Amino acid sequence: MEKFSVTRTDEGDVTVLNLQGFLDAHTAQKFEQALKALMNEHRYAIVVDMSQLDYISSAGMGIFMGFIEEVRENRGDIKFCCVNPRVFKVFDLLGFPNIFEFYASRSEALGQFQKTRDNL
Amino acid sequence: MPSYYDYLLEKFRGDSDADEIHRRLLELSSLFEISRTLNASLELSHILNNILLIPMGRLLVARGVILLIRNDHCRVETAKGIRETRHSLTFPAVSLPDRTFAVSQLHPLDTSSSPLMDFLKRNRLQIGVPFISQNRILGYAFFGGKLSGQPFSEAELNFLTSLANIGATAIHNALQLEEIRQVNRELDEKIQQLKTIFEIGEGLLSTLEEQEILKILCYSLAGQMTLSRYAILLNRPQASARVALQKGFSPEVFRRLQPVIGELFRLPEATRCPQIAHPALRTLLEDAGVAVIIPMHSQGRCLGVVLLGAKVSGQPFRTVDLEFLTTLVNQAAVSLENARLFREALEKQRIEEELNVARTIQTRLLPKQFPRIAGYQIFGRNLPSRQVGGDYFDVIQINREQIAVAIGDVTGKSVPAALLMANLQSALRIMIGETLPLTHIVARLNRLIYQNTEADKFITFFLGVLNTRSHAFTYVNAGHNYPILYREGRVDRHLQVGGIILGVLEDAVYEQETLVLQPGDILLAYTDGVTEATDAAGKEVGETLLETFLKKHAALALPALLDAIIQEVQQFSGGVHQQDDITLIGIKRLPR
Repeated sequence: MEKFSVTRTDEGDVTVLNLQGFLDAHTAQKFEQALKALMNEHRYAIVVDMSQLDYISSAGMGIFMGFIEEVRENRGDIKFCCVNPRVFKVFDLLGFPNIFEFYASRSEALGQFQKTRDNL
Repeated sequence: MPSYYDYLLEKFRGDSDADEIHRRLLELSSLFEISRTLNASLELSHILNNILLIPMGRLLVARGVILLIRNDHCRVETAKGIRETRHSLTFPAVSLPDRTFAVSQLHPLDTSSSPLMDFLKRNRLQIGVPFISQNRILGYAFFGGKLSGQPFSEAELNFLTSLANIGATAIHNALQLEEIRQVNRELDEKIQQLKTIFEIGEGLLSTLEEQEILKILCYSLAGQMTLSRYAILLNRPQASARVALQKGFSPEVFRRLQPVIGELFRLPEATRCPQIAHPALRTLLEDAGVAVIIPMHSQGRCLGVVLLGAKVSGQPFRTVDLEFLTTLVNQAAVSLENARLFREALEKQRIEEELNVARTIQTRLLPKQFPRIAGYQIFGRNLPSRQVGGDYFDVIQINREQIAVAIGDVTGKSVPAALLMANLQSALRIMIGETLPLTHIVARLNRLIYQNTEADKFITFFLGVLNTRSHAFTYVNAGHNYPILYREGRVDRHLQVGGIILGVLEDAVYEQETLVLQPGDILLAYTDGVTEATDAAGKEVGETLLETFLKKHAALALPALLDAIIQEVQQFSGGVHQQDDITLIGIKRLPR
């Protein structure tokens, strides 16, 4: 089995990236490619589903930091959902909940994008 | 807890002081309730809320505040009915009584000008109640007056004191828990940092690509510190600094940094921008949005710097952060250094392999056997330098009577020189068989070399043909070191006739000369590796000394003569590593 994989589903304007396995320094580049592809397509509404992510390291989290400004400058956002407690703990330790929105379910995260659009 | 109240009421029913008892029972039961409520929770905010709300409800008080002492400061933790309820409200600690007290009765000398007293008076807080646990004052609750305007009765003050006593234990426990949580979090942070350091170490070990190393480093930094701006500037000796990787900064910044880059690379340790001593550098970096600079050190040398923007989380860079960053960056520096050493080793190995190839080509090109001709000795010797210098010599039996000898020195070294040499040899061997005048052959070789090489590649070349019957020796010298004709115990002449070196002028014209060899004559041709061999002081052998060597050993048979000259040259240079090949070729007409 592969150490890390990312699968992409487009739901209207929002893209859901489903992460699986271990996101660390070795696999970070693969994930970066996935996000780069979205930037190239001008898709800036992104939900990252982490229900199947077993581990994330600082390097993995660094990828999000590398894109969040570009995403928000284009009125988009990266929202997280279904983060298991072990993974969330790392996010929490490094202060990510102050910067990113975390949701319990994919539909909540998607709904939040819907809400933002309705308010525009 | 009405059930306790009901129970007690039932028990004391019919007592004469029923009203008083009722009141006491109500108080007791509410203290009981409070005790249970408070001790059931370890959440500080929940506990403090209850400590305020219960007496406010019971005594009909509209204002209350709780301050806790933290690191010599009083901080407002909870407030009710008070407008200035900013949570960050803190006051310098003042010594206050360790029992329930009326704010108005405090000694004015202790408290007159303190901000805390101003706050209490401003908000008409009248009664202070200390929380004391294990003989330590944890903080105070302050309450405003009763809405009824009545003063607090003795019993009500006792109630507040009792409440504070119960509350103190709960607060103490909650504070300890808070502290443990804090310590735990710090431990978790440390563990996370260690994991990152381990991971980056592992990641860095598995790659020797410079760009890859820098990428891994930046991912980790950005994730660990919540950074969206970072850059790595590499310090290159004898070159301008290189921006190896950057995100979020304006490219203009790096151009403007160039004049003060030396200052940047001189920073001894991780530095917050405002602490940079050099004013121009500080201003530049601050304007660019750089928050922290971390130098990359390996073995006392600054390989470069990492520039970091502010944390997106808004948190400041703590000293522990800088320590962590230093560890991480230095680890990457070691990897970069390893990568460099590996590249160098690889390059060295590549050069070595190339030299082996060149050496093989050269060895195969040079004749290993020499024709045996009655009345003559013809031999050549080549001593390749480590770099394989591109010397060439050849002895070709054209027919029964004619023997061609050639010597040349190709510019450059190693494989390119060897290939050019091979080119020259095959062309020569093809042309020499045709009955062309030597001048034509050399002119054609020249054109060939000219066409097949770049302008800076050329060959010094000497070609002669000996007729062993007539003893005529015809030669063309295309810019090669003049061969020596040694006759009757002295240097008779130098063979200078010919033209320009091969490969520079396409239509160069050459001349030839014919001389007749007499018995005992020695013709010695050599490359500049012989005359330019140097001793430790850098002094060259030179032509005069070479001629002396020749004279000294002229009586020897030919191969021995060449070897003797080589030995003299080596003795002269005293073991100094020679840059160029040493090549000699000789023709000796045996004395009658």
